[in-house]
Amino acid sequence: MKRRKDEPILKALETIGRPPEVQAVMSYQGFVAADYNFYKSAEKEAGEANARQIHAKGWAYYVPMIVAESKEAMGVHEIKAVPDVGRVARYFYDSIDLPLKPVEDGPKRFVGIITIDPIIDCAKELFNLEIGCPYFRSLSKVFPLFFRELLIRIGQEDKIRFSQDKFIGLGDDVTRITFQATDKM
Amino acid sequence: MTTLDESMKVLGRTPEEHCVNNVRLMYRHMYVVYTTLKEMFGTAKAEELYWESWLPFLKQGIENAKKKLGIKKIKGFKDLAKVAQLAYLDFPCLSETAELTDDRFVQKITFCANPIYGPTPFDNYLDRADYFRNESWVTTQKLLDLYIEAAGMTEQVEGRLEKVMCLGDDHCTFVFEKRKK
Repeated sequence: MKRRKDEPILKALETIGRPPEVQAVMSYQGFVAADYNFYKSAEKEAGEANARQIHAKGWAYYVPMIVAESKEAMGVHEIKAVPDVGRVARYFYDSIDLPLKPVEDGPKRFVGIITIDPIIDCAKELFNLEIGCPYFRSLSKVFPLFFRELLIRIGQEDKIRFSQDKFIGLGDDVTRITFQATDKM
Repeated sequence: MTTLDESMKVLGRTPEEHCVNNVRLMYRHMYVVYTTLKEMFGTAKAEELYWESWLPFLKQGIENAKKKLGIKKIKGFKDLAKVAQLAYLDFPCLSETAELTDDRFVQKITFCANPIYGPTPFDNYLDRADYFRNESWVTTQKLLDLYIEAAGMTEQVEGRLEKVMCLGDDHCTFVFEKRKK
């Protein structure tokens, strides 16, 4: 594995005298701006309902990457059990700076909550958005579709069900997700 | 403390790890956005939407650079060189001035985070190559035109790319020169 100090971006930042924590914020804002502009472009071309589907379709591109990377990180060849899917979910949310805290982590059921959501906060700040706006409504649909695609990818769509019953961007106190084993498991 | 700082703390990352993660996150997402727009609306429309979505930020970057340098109006290639060099750092891209005369200004980009931290091989080569074609020959060309426009030099100056590192060159070369009469 590449040592951190060898990361080209860190060397470049040293050259220009910019602290990594400053670049971390700038790049995160770039990420949120890219996502918001993506949704707005789709909305302009195809209307709100279709834009939500396009937005979710974009995020689904990450599924093969997240499956491959999380398998490597977890040191496993297959992801089948509910606790493993919970770990994949943590890996995914970590990668977008949303810490997922497990509140139930059993063999048949995983429940995780997100209490801090920098995507929502950053988008509110950058674009003056309000909770429940069309972009946040779209984001609330992005992750359920992402995990449905992920369950299909690992061949567990009949055995594990995903649900998200709370979402910070819609005004809830936390975002809460559940993976529940079905009677086919 | 912002939620982003809080997230770094909860995830147990160092500022360096947080930085690398977020640089990768941004460039991967730009790839995903362009590729999805292309799939949904076709290449020409995707190029247009992608450019339009970044335009306000790029304009703001030029204004920020002017303000930081104390330049109210860009006059000539010397000012343009300074503004462009500073504005590139937003991405961040590092550049050197390779040539600067009254008629010609050549910039060499020596570091760009996009091809290093952008798409990884979880998709196919053609999609990645097309993304970088758009990033360079389409979007960067428009960016050079934007610098010239911001300098009020559109009638007199043209900008072009000669080399692009994301498609295999060892660095990027941007050339600004006076239009031939």
